[in-house]
Amino acid sequence: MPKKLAENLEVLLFDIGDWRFAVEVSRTRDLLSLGPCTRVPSSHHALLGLINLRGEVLPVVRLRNVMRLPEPGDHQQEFNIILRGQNGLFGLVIDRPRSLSSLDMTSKHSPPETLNPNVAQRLQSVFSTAEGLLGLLDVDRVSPECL
Amino acid sequence: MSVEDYSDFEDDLLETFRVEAAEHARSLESLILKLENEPSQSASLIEAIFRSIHSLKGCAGFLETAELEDVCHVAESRLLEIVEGRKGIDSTDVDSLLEFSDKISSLMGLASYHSLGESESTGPEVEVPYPDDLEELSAQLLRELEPDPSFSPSSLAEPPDAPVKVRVGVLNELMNLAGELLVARNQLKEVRRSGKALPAKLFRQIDRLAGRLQDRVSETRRERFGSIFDGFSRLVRELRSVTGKKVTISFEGGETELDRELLEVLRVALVHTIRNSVDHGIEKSEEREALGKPSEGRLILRSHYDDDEVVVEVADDGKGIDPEEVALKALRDGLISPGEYQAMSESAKVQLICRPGFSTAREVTNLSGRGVGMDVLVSEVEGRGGSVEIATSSGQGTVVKCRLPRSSFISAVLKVIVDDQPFLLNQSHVQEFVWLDGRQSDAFETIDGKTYYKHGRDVLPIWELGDILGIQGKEKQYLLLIKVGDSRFGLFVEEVLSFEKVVVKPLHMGLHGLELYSGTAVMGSGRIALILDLAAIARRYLLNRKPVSSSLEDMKPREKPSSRYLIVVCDGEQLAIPLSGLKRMEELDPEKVYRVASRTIVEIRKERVSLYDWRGPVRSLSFDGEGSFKVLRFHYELEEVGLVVEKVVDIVKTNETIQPFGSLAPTGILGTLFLEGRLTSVFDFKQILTHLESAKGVA
Repeated sequence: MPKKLAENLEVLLFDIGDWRFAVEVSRTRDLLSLGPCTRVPSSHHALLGLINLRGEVLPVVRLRNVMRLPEPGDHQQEFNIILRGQNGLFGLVIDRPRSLSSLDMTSKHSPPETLNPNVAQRLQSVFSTAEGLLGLLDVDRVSPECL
Repeated sequence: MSVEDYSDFEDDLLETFRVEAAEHARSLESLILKLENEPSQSASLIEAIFRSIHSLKGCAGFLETAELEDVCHVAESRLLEIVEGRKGIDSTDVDSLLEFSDKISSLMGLASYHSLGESESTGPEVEVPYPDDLEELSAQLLRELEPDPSFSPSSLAEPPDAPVKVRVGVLNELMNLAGELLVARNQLKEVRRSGKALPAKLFRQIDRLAGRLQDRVSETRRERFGSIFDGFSRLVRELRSVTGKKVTISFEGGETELDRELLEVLRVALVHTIRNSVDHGIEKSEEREALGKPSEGRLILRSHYDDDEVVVEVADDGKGIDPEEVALKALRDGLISPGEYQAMSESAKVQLICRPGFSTAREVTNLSGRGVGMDVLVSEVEGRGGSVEIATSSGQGTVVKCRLPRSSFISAVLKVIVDDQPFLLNQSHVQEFVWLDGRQSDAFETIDGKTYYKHGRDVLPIWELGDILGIQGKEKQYLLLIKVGDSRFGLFVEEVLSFEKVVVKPLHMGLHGLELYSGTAVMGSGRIALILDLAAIARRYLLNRKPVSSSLEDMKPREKPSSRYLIVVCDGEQLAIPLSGLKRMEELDPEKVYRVASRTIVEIRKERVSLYDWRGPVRSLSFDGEGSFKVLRFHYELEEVGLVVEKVVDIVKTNETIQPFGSLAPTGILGTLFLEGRLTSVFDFKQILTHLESAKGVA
């Protein structure tokens, strides 16, 4: 794959509760609203189950559970980002997708020490933007095999 | 003929030459390998090799590939030198000839020995029309995405244009079925136009046609197991020179047919298994001689059908796997806890080598020991609804046995419900299901807090499927009787829905560690159902059960330090039967038992087996009650004979010698042995048969 210049990183921004995260567009395959899901008994609590994406069976991970973030008061429609993991595609359930954006690599930091460790260990780095702090997700640390 | 026609004709002609050349190139390698193994045939083999190379050279001329022509020419000259040298053919000659054959294969663009173990490239990505009505963001996202062929959605990766040979008969049948299906579709249109309900007859017809079409199509996907043999002769030859160990490989069951893709997967996975056997199993010649074994180690790769399954085995007569060594290594590496270690039976310890990341090699060698090996085979086989068992015996060898469904993608399953969720069980593993209407309460027994079910003369352990999966089941209404390999057990479920045929989809890597599910399937509703991994469940819950295995026996060295006996109950008498000579053990199907000319005969998979008990030919069998019988099958002369037993108690190993009974011993009883604290008669089936035959001669 041709690599883009290192200055800017194309990302998809999304929210979970009050948190804002980003995921690299190059690791993203699809964006869907979360449909019916077959649960897998005895599996990790963050593994929501399996979905059928055009005949392919994909596992789906709920990021809120992975990061142990509190449940929202009211139930809302969730969304499913299809990501490219090292062992194939998987779904990542989030609250709301926001927009595509381009991150300035010069505003990159390592996660601050005060950050919730459950969140920090799933991030590659943190970016400061006009709207505040933003966590860049490490796709290989949220995939089903590393739960 | 117009110019255009002529160029088509020329293309066809070239293609014909290409196919012919490829066939010659493929046969070349197997001929060269034979040359080494069958020196007595060398004259005729050399002639055949000559013919192959010569025809190749001819084809190369037509195909205008000068390089191929040159290689063939040099190969021919080398062969002439060998023949004129008039000395015997040695391995350097074979090496140099194999080099030519490799070069030819690579020039022809064929997969040669060197591609063993490397995966094939995947097919091109299929454009899938995008059905969802997506919001703007998603569309924007898609536009941003770069196409990446390595994430192809096609799970049926096959070289896109590989030609397949199909028998004309099968093709005709496919055509007929397609025609019939077309007629049925027209009838369906008719029904729809009239607005009437779908007649049951039409439904049945379409159901039957779809089933037959699927059968025929999977037939075209099958290939002979024997087609992978040449690659393995070559591999073992290579291993011999790398390790310096003397070892030969022989093959059985080449006519068994497997799905092409499954065979390809097996071919790759078995490379690891065979490397392991040679590297860790087979001892050096001096070591073998000191043990009284033949100095040359033996490997067998064999295959046969067992009902709806294909069994593929790799057997070696090496030193076997030491369960303690394996378990201690696993303990050190943190694969098991000390508690687990304590609770494990010997066979469970041996099975640890199938865990991902396990390696016993003291040092990593070129060949094996990186911890990739058995887990590759296990995950490939289990991912396709099969199971892997390992039987090993210290100093005598190891057998790795894979059981696979005959068709890899379409699997017959039983759909059951636990906590309102459907789960699928491989139909070939479900022997029976029992509706619990309260009348079976006598059949259940609780010992030490565990529930058992009395089934005929067997007592089976029982679990609730809900407990195994860790979910709350509702009222259980059915009991399933499961048989995986040689293990049997029962499972309680809420409801049994239906038998279905499903397309099996592999499980994501992240879920393999659960050891509960072997795959998934998309159901008619579009929802996904999980297929239970009954082999893994049996492994986990039947830790302390001894495996019943007889397949090691024919690999035994001549001077056995100890013998194995199968303890059975036959016509009310407890007997010990030497395992050697026993072909296999199966359930007796009462429906297939016939009385013919004062003999009792059972038909097992189109073979007729005469039935005996320890007194002689069986006169009558009563199938009253829930009693079930097993047949121990033996070969006698050219006949298939079976000993009917009511129950198989155990397999024991002893080095005690048989105490003769004296001259008054009943025919067939060799003497007595003290086994498991009980005096048991040792029964020799052959003696009874020889006795009966000589009696017939006198009459």
